[in-house]
Amino acid sequence: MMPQARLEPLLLVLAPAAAALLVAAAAIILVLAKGSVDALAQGGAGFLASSEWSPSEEERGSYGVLAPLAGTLVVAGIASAIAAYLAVAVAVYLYEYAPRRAREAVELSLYSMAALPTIVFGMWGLSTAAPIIRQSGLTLLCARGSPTGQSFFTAGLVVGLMIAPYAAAIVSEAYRAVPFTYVEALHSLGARGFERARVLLGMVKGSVLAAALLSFGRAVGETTVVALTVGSAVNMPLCPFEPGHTVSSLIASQFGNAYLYPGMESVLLTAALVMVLGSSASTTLGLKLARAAVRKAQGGEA
Amino acid sequence: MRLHELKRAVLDKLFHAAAASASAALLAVSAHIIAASVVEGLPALLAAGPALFVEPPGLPGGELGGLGPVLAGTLVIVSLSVLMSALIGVPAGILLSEYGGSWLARSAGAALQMISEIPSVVVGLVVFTLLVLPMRTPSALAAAVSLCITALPYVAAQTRESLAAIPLTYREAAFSLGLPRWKAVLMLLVPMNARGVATAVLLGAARSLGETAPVLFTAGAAFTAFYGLTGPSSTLSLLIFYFAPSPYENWRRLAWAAVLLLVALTAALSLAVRRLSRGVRM
Amino acid sequence: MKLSKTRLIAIGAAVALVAVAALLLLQRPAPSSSSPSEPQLTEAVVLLQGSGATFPMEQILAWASRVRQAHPWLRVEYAGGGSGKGQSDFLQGVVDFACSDVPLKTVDWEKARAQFGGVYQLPIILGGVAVVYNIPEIPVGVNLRLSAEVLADILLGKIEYWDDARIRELNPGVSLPHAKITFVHRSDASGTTEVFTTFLSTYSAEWKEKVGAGKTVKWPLDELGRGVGAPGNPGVAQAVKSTPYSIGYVELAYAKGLGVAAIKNKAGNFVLPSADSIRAAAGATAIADASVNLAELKILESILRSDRPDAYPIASPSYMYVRPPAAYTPEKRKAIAAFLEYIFSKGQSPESVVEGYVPVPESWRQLGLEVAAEFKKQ
Repeated sequence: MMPQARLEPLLLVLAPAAAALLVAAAAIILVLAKGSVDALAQGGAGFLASSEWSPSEEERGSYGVLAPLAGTLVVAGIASAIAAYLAVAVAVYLYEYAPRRAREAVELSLYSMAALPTIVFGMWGLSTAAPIIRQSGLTLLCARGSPTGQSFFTAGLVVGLMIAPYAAAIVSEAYRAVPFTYVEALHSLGARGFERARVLLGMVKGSVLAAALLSFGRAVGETTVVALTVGSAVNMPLCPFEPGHTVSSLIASQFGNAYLYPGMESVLLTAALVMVLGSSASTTLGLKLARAAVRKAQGGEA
Repeated sequence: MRLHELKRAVLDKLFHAAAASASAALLAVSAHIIAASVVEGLPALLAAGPALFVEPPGLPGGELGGLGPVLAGTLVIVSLSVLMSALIGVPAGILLSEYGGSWLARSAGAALQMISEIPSVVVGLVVFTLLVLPMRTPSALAAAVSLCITALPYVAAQTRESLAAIPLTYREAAFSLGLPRWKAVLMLLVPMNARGVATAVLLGAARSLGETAPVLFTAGAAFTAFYGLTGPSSTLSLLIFYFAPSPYENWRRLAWAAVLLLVALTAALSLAVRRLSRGVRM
Repeated sequence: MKLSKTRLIAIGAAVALVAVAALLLLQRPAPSSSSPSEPQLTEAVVLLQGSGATFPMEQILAWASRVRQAHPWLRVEYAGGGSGKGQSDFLQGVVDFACSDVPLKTVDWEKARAQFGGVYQLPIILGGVAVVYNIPEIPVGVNLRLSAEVLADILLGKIEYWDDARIRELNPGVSLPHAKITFVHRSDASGTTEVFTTFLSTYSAEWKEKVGAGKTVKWPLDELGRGVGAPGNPGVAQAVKSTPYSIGYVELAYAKGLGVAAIKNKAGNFVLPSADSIRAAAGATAIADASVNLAELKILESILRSDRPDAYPIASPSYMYVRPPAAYTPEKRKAIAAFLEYIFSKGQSPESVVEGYVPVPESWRQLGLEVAAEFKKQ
């Protein structure tokens, strides 16, 4: 079906971009790896599994990063779930239920929302979302529930809300791009909104997956918002309404002064490296599994 | 049969409610934030007048001043970042969509996914090590590179999705007419979804405008003057980061004015893209 | 591929407009902030870059703007980033000067000496740490009184409620609620934390033993679930503001809108933080020479123990590190001379000191001027 196996002129044009990407990714990994050497050489990889954090300016303190690593997964999980749900809901609403005029206005406001600086979301989280969580009483569900409302859940919520416009843009572009013949066919069959949505969403499954993945990646890497809403405590994420840390918020709050604590800089870079490699591996695996499931469900159609 | 009809109607209403409430929630949040920026930022914008675009910020606790050098820095840094991310991201997206199976595309895809997961502050740290240290100064160039890296995954993903949405039949038709692969892509597929590609670049621009952590260690914090590509600089988001939590009222007002400007800028960009590009109804 | 001509022209026009705007903004000489007619720029512009502690940032930016009016060729930019980053940048040569909440550690001081042939550490401005609280029952105008010992016991977890006997003892006539005390501390490493914890360690042996002092510490209240971290001074201020019955510590400038505690000083008086009370605390500490290892002088301890009756004890200076004159190019030397001279003359006057900061005592001002003269000599 696809012609030509010889070297294509287009590939030659596109290859430098791909090469630039690979170089950038490699450079980042190398810089992180170089920075990690010190921490790994000094005490082995034990600190990756420890949650004890006692900094010391005179000697090498103990910097266990298990809690922030786990916290990253929890916050990213909550955020991408919220973002994916909102993205699909918005896309369906815009194209199945909303009046045509409203659509353009809503899309415009979504794009505006996407450009809001992360710092603004962070401050909104601190001044509005955290007190709401605190007043809702949800923090009482946890043994050490946050007294200010800043918690893993708050961070996940605000990051999810922030990412949702991007995810919604991807899903709605794909939803809109489904050939009109299918939409016509569904209407002619008398399908209602949710029935049409079920069919069309099935057709853009790939985009939904892409949106979810991008959201997860963004949530894992988000720094400013999380630093302001997560509560900044080295604490295992056993209960979502407790304050905690993610690797990004830990780096954001500690790196500026890390130089004064022997060994801390290197530990932070190692944590970042482990997190990036770990989440890349898991999303690649997840992608493979999801694609396999999709292929099985569709009986071979790509 | 009636019961079945009733069930469908009820389910539809429920679905409608769920979708509408989710959209409403999202919009309510953004409306709250935008309303706050208008309420706080518009008075500042009006108070500063046209000087806002030219003057540097006033002294802390003093007069308002303006955002002149910061706007210059933002313009240069974001334009550079968008240019770089478009030059790398759009071809990468095309590669992922059209040559998806090849090893090059798969490794590029893995690289993109990984880059999207790197904490934005770590990107800044890496560019600090690679550019700022050898140059011995933070610079607009380093800031642009950092922002480009954070925006790349979005540009590429959106490009890929918009091309992948075009059904195979069009490609088959092109090939059956004898068009070589590159002509089919460049002259048929990309223009067919020019809107999607333009959206991709727009998303990259939006991300570059809104990010703070990548420029934190790479741009410096030059709010009072613009020193060119290789000198310290600043962006609107950096100004907001430093000024919004400040205890000095005039600086807080400037920060809100900056938020308002950012929102207005992206809305304008979005509108322009929608008017200028076109897609094809398939 | 058909892009209609009009669209093409429209796109081209937009791009051209943006390019022209960019060029215009770039060509335009950086405007001055207040004077209508800027003095002619006859000399080449010299840019001094600094980074380091976030506390002195606003003050340094204010000085930078003002000094430019006197010397239009002098530009100073300060990037913040944290004391540690400032020291790291300084030693790596990325910045011309750095600011910090503490003097260089002996190890780093020796590193700087080996690298640059010496280093000057100058206290440029003073700051105070205010203990802030959010107790709705206390009326405006009434300040809670606290002592170091009671504070330490609150933060160790021994005093749990606001209406505890020991707090009531210090505050006769003030009705205190039966509410649990929540504590907000800094989540990021910070000089403010260091000053505050050193204060507690100085007056409470139990605190010194159990927790100690430092830029970050393990707060006992975190384990008890009554302590939480917030990033930066504004973060702590915001958290205290939104959490009733909470207590925290912030730099003086951020205490606006919050209840401020009057702290018992060594002389036994309960003093509120202010420019005068902070300056009084620092007045007695002498620094003879800026090029020695200041870490050994234990300046912070002597301020915390100040026995002047009007002193507010929780105060500390911000330091600026510069290399010796020989380690700079002639233009930079001239620039640093001008900047230092400004900081230690007009810069300490009430008009130039930004609200929330405190000018340094006279003896330190003289020290700064001596160092400035060194730079001018060459």
